[in-house]
Amino acid sequence: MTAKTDSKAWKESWETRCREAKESLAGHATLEALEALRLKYLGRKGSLTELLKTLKDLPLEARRELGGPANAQKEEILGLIEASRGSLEHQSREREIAGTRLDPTLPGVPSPQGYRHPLTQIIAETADILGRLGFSWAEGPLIETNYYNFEALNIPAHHPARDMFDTFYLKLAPKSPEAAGEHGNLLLRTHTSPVQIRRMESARPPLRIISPGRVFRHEAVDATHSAVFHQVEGLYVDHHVTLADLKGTLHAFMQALFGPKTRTRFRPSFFPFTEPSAEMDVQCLFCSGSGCGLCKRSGWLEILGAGLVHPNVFKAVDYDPEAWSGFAFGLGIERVAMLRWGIPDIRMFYQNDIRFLEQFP
Amino acid sequence: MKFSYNWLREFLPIDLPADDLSRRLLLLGFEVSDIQTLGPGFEGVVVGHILEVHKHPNADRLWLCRVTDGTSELSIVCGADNVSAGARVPVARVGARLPNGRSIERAKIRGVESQGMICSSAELGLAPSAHDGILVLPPETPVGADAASLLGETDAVLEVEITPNRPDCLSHLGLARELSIHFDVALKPLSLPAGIRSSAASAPAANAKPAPSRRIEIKDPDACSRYIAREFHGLRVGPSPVWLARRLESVGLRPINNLVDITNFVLFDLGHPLHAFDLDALRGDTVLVRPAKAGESLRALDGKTYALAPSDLVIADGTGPVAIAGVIGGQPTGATGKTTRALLESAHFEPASVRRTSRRLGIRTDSSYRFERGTDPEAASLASERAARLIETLCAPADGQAPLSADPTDVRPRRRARPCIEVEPERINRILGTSLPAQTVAGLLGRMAESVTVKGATLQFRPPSYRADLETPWDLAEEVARHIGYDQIPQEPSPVRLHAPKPNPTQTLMSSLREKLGAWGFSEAYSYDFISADHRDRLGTPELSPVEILNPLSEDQALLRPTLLVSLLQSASYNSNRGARNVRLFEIGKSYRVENGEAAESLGCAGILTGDFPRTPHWKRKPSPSDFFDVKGVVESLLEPYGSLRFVASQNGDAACFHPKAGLAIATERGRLIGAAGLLHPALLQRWDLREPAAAFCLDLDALAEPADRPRAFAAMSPFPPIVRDLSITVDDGVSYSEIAACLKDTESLASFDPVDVYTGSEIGAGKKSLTLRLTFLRQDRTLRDSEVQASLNGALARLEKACGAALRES
Repeated sequence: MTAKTDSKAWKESWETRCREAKESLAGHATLEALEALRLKYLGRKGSLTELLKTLKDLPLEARRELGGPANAQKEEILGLIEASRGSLEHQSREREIAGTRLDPTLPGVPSPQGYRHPLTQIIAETADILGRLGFSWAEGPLIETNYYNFEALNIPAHHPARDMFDTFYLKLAPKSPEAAGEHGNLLLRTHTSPVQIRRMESARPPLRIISPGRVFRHEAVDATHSAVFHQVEGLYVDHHVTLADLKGTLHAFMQALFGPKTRTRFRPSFFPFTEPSAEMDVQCLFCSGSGCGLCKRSGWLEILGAGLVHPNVFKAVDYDPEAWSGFAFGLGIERVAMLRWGIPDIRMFYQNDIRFLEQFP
Repeated sequence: MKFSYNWLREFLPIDLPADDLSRRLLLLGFEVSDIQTLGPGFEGVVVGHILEVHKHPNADRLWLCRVTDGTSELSIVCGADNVSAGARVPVARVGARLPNGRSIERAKIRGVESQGMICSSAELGLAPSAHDGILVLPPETPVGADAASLLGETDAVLEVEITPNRPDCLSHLGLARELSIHFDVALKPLSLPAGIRSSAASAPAANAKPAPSRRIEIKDPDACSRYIAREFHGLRVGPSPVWLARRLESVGLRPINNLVDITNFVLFDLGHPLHAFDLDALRGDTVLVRPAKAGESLRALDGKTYALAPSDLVIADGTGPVAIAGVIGGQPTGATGKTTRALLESAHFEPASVRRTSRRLGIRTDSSYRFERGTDPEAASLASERAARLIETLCAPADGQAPLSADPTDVRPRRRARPCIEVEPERINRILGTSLPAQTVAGLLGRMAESVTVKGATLQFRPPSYRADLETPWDLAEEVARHIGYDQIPQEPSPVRLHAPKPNPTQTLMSSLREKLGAWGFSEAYSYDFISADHRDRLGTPELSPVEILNPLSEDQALLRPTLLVSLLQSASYNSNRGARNVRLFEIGKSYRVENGEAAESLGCAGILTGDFPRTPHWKRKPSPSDFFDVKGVVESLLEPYGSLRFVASQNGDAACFHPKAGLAIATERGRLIGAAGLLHPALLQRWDLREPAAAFCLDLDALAEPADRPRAFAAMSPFPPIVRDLSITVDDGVSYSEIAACLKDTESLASFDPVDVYTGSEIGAGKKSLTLRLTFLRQDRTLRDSEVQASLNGALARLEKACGAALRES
């Protein structure tokens, strides 16, 4: 065979096979058939692949003449195969989707879900707000001594202010007799204020602490009274702290807790450990001040007790009341939670009825 | 304390409606918890017109009147001298109600029927007119009109909460004084109450005064700094006039007799407690104020007999105690209807002494309430004086001879000098954050002070004797703030200074536990700390000795919980009884135990898993009963940040609540016990009436909150592919997984292994079990070859065969 004849024969053969490939491409129906086709012509041992390998045996001139078009044709066929594959895959997906049998209205599989107690949520929220105002969380024991619960807080023995704090006593007395006082026995703290004393004893001012926690009052339990409840209390000690600072801080706190439109009212009160003492009311969240059953027609809800730290409290922890000043405030967590969610009975917080607990995601 | 609006107006010229007054009081620091409106005190009384007056046929001093009430004519018997035809008078018809509780009925008086009563001012509870007899109304008064709406005095009663620092406001004078400062209006001069003002005009001519018959001796001047005694002769003790009775009733007191009522009236009027003794019942010639002697007792006015202690101050006569000082009088010496001579006590007793006794004996009276808060020693004489005037007027016998009163005996061994408070107005501004002009501050303080002296920039404030609570510049700052109004205090933005809150490891731990447990389906419980002895018994852990409450609310709340498990058992049982048997609950809180004679509280976290999980059935994910491995998994995951832990068999402490075979104590690597977990003991479940098996855990957070490990350093992930092999072995039933794990631990290139199947059954043979372990081989430095993995596997198998008697299971 001459080189010329060889080239011609090669070309004919190539074109025949290309034509064949294109024709059969049109006829296939499945992805499998398509892949078989690809292998037959363009696989490692495919007929086009094999033929293309023989191109190198042709004379240089023929190689130059035939190589370019042949490769282009090969690419074309490959492109056709890919396009066909895309279309077949698309059809296959569409069939699959169309064939999906599912009732999407059946309930999904629930992820395990427990609920933080509503009181935890309010405590966390207040701690978060006050944390942003720079207050750190401080803790103290629930079993307290007379000294920390009363005497250091300017509530001496035999003082009528003790009537404000009905107290549970333990049968046990503290080991150190100086902690005993009027009633020798240990007691369950009636407020979180002992934490203030403990903290001031162990740190120098300036101070900014909150002490959320559980407190106890010896009083009959009903829908609005609980012998066990929770308070969040704040203490701020620095130079030149004024009643105006307290008022502003509490107002900001209330707006953060109850919403930016919350209106507050600041009025005098009495607590043995603050002077001047104050209470802050917020405008009734339900009637917006027009008067309803919840606010006893007053338009206001009592929320916070507060005041400037009494000089006797500073003296008890060896702070100079002329040099340092501060404010303290406290609020009842249950009360906030009851207002927030319209809970009518404080005892619900302690029954742990799962139907109650699961209402506070 | 209850305040009568009309009574306040005896002292203060105000016409603010009671509602507004109550708002002003609130903004002054006095909460008003209730306002009651009192009606005129009578009903069914109409204006009548007397048509004719005839002599009563059977009585000289009675009249028979024909009266019209506008619609019908009535025949009424009347005894007043001023009755006359043509007069308009108040007529109480049959069925009418009068203030003393009397209701008018058809009655025969000396044989003649009376169809009602013509009333005097006193009978209607009104201020008496200048003369005795029936109330004659102006001639233009419409006949038939309701007398209550024409004449009746209505009143508002305010229940005001007086804080313990303000005993000076525990009286009408006191609160009026506070309001007079606030409104800057002068108090009315103290005069006799409106009820007797007119008749006081005819006050008795000064008769010969009797000499005091008793000496007063104060043995304990620390407890009694002043004692004023005043003797009265020629008394008539009987019912109080209606106006006085109504006054007392308006503030919630029950009228007793005129003498006692006068002492009570003065107490609510001026705030100073008084006591009236029957002088003839007092033995000896000395009234002693002294500590009680051991063994002494007193039968008090409440009818009970009290054993006295030397810490109690008493008033004693020659035979023994006749009153518990400032608390309650004795019954044998109390004023009765037969009393004609009396000794009136007006004293000052020390607050702490009165409080101690009142607490100890459990007696709380209006008197002790005021003394223990602090009374004004200066007011003792005023109160005595005021009572004397009232006694002279109201306790006169019918024959008109006024009682005689001796000069008071005023014994005053202690006089407390109160220093001035020195304050600069600027200091007040610095406390309040205000910028009040000095004159404003001085002016305000001047209104409430005994005196204010300006000395340069300093004010010398002398507090009035009734304001024992004013001692420091802070107290004065509060006074200024109250009277200018807390709403006038500026609202400074929170004094924010860049300040990073300190982290609190306990809180961090608690939040992380809450977050994790929440994600695993546990809801958070809050329980009371109090439990009953029955709860303790049902726990069945006698070695946990609970802390006892001295004064529990009730016997079933007499102990503090020794473990959180008791609370969770209660809660699980509560839910189970309400149809919720599948619960996962946890609680973070304190439990309490007596350890070495001391009360110890510890912070813990406990959880309980009852019934199936998830709680509600689902079409796809079937709930399964919570078991030992569920709770073990919870604990392992919770404690993952704490490094390796050991589970050890134990029945101590909390662990005693668990199933002996399916409960474990949890220990740190160093052997410190930090909790327990497992199935709850079946006996415990039965005692708590839980029908499903239940699992639980408890952890000691005090141990866990201690410095957790430093953050573990990052470990690079291997870039090479892992090789995974399953190994199935058969071992004797008694071989534990931990023994098998120990054999695998050191296998060459083994990155991790997990038991993926545990099987016992006939295929394996009795007394045997089969385990399938999935082993993952991986190296950090290169790709493993199959042959290496096979060699490691063979080595592991050889160790298992040797140590555990394992055999490769052909599959």
